[in-house]
Amino acid sequence: MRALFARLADASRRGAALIVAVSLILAFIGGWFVATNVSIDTDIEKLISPDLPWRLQEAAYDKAFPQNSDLLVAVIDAATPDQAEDAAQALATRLAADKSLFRTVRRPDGGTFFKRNGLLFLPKAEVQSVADQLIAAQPLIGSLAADPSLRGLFGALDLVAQGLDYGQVKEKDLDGPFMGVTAAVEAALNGRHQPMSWQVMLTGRAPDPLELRRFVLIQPVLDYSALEPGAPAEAAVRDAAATLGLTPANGIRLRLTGPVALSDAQFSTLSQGAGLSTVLSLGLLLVWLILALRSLRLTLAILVTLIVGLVACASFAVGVVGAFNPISVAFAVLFVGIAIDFGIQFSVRYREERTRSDDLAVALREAASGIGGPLAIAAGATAVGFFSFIPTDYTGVSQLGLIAGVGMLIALALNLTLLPALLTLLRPRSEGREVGFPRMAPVDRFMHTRRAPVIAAAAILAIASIAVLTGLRFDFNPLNLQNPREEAVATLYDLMASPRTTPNTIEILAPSLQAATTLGAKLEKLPEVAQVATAASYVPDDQPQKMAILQDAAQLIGPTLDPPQQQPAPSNSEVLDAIKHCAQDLKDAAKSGDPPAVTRLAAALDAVLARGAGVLPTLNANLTAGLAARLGDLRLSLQPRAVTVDTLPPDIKDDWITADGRARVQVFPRGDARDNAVLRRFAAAVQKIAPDATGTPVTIQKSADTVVRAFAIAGLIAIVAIAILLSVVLRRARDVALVLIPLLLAGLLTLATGVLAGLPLNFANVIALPLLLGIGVAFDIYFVMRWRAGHADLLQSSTARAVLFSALTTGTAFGSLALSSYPGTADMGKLLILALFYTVLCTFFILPALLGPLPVPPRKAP
Amino acid sequence: MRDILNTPETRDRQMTIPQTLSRRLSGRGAVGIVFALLLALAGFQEAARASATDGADAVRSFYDTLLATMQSGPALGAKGRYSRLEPAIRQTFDLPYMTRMVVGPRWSSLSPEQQGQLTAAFSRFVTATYAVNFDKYSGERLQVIGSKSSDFGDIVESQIVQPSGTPVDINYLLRQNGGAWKISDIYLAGTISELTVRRSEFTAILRDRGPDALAGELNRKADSMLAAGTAGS
Repeated sequence: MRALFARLADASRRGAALIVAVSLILAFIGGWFVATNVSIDTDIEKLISPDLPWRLQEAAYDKAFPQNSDLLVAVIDAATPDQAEDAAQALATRLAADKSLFRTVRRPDGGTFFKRNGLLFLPKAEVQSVADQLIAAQPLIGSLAADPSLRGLFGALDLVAQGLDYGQVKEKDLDGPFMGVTAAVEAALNGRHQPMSWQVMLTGRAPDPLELRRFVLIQPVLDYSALEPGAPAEAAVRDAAATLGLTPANGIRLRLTGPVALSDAQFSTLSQGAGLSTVLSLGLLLVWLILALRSLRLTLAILVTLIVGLVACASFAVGVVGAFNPISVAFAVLFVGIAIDFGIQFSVRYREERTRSDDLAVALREAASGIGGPLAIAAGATAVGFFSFIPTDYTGVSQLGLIAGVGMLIALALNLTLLPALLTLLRPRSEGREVGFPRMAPVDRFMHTRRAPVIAAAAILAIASIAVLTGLRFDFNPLNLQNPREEAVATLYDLMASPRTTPNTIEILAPSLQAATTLGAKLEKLPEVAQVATAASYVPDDQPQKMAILQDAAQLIGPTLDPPQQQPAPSNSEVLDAIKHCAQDLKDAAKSGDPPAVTRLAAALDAVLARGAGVLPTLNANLTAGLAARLGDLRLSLQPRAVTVDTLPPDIKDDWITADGRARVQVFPRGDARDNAVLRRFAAAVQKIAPDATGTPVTIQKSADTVVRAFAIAGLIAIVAIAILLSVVLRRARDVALVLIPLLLAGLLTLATGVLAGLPLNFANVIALPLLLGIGVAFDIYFVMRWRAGHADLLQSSTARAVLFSALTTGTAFGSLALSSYPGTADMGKLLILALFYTVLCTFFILPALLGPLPVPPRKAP
Repeated sequence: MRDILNTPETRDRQMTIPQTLSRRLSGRGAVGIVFALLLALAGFQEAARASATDGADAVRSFYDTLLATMQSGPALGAKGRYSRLEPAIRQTFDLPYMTRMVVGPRWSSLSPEQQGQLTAAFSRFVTATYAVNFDKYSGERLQVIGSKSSDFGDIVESQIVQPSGTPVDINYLLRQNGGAWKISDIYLAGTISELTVRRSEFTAILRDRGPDALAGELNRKADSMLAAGTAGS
């Protein structure tokens, strides 16, 4: 075996020029191949096997209601219900026109159906009070319908003022409407856009918070070959909003959220700041390499080998596996971390040999024969560890496992051929000093003389860790991985705050509407459930009585909403004239008391008159914008039509009943839907009654189960496979155990510290575990093999130096991840650093004690 | 009439614009309002046609009767005018419907007797108002200028042109009832529904004192108007 590696080194040295040339040419070809063929499938739906039962249920539901998948949700908040409604309608109309970017555009909370029948959804008493209010406001409504302008408005207010003067109108009744008008006038005087709500003015009903928020559901055309598949659509929505004046300056806030925006935000934060941290970590990486190797030539050789290997590995991935997924792209980090370790191991060993014999050829041969075996075993074990993920249902990691496993073999091959060839050509200078850490001698001695206490301490730590691990949990909420300040995330949390808009609803597909309502009634009784919606929820109760109330109001108001003649738009002077009369009559009215609402409006109107026509456009926007639309809405809402499930508009009906008659049941959670415990209880309770339930609370937990299971299975396979591999190669059970024990201890300590530090496992940082496995196995193998080769003073050896600097370089790469603004990546970085720390700790301070002094008589040193 | 309008309960309702409008137009009582403008109308009249064939005809026919009554108004006296107008109003106005609308949602919970009493009282009140306000003719013109059909019935536009030449818009809603076109609402200034104004006035009395009190109040009002010969007691 050792001879084989020695011959390989000799061959590489002799054919150095050829090897380097061929490698570089292949690397260029590979680089070109990767650059022209690389693609990433950013569809996170594909990360988990589609054949799992819960994925099939999810797919069945998505197929039944395809309009609800891949949504981009525009959330529009405005100061008044009028603005929110008009903004949402304008945006929806505009977006629907662009079929190239938007497949569907819907308004779940708007449109003719709700305008016509919206009042029927109020409780009966409230319908009556709205009707009474509208009837009382008929004079104003009629006047405005005939003259929907500032002239009409101030003409009507003038009449009110006269009513005040005559004592027919009480000032306190006018506080509300007058204050509304006054605020809008004063805002216009300050040049501010602050429209008054005609809906509030006419119905006298304070707006429900939900009326200030409107939704537009968009299914954008997605480009999964892009890092942010929905980015063009999102940009187009924002553009449209800007063009339509749906801006904060106009009191309207548009935010984008929904699955598409969330996933885009995730990828954009991932790439955000990646440039700087990469440069920083690369710089630091170079520093470690130079400190470890004390030679620019060696460093260059390692880097070239690394880059060629990376290209080869990427070529394999692109050529064989196909498109990357968001997890498998992490192969690069894994590859760099471990391949650089192989390079350092070889180079440091080479330096050690060079101090013994200042002949490049001899040093290379000796290094290869000394470290070749350990490297081969480490690469084999690491590859086996990665391959263990292939059979799991976590497709994302399964592909990563395949790519990274092959990458290990590539790295091994290159470090045993290309690296010696490069060193031959670069001719590094001779080494003068001891390569190991002679100052570690006392520690080595301590490890040998105090084996029992060190091992006992390790055992205690292991037991303590196992005790702590009962608190280990998996944070299944993917939202917790995202930056809460991202718009898409913050908006979603905002929606979750209201039980009526939370996206954390469970969806059930019932065989019929009847079955759906029966199931709904059963679910509604659960304490974990706030409410249940089905198609039947869109059929208001007490319809005959409510319609009678509205018909009565319609008889009184309706005819004046459609006046035979509408006044032509007024000229500025007509408006100013109306304002002047109104102001005068208000002042006359104010004489008979001291009504602040009246005097304040009069003063504001005087200010308008002083400013003249210049202020009229803003005044017009603040007071009459949306007036015509509201009168139109009012006309519709006074003429509701009997609502039955069958007469629901297709837009709504299709959301709830499939063409073949199956019906959707939507279940809302009670309590704070942002709390994982609430979601867990909610999902469990609903699933007990409806096992085929799907929806976010179900799927995120099932995803977590799948991922945890995948890692448990893979971990088990990895340990067993590595044990078998080591047994075959090392042929000594004790040595196999000695490789695995520090590894397992490092794993326990990492997870236990995670628990104590409140760093739960999640979808992102769990990927750190395979890396821990790879690096840990490699480090332990180097030490065990060195010991078997007759080196008991491990901490003083060049192997210790190589492991330390290898750990530092890998740690640097991970350190940069920990600083990421994306919490998922940062969590992964933190866990990786923790894992690396414990790996080094166990390798340096536990393993030597376990190994102990060499058996007597010592073997011949290599 | 002012006492009805000015009951505190009435003033609790917010939008009392129409009363104000009426004041501005006439300076007299609420509905008298428009009608006061008609006081001195020129003399094209003729007897009321037996049955109107469309909404506009019904209004024209009523205007004819109104004009004739105004022209002999002083001679007839308030009670005389009342007797002259009563059949025309009964024929032209859908008084049962109008009463039901001004009473509002409570109507259906009233006994048939109470409904009958209220209808009679409201009819009497309306007729008295016309009889008192249209007491003489001073050159006004009453003209129907157009008609438009809507979901709710025909809307007939008319103007009362004052002797000064200033027109005042009065629109009517007419619906077919029992084969005849009948006035079911009046829109002052073309926009303000008479029925909503009345409902606003009556709601409080109805709520606080009941339907019998409202009927009594309407009858008392009609009596006092006719006795005084003016709407503004």
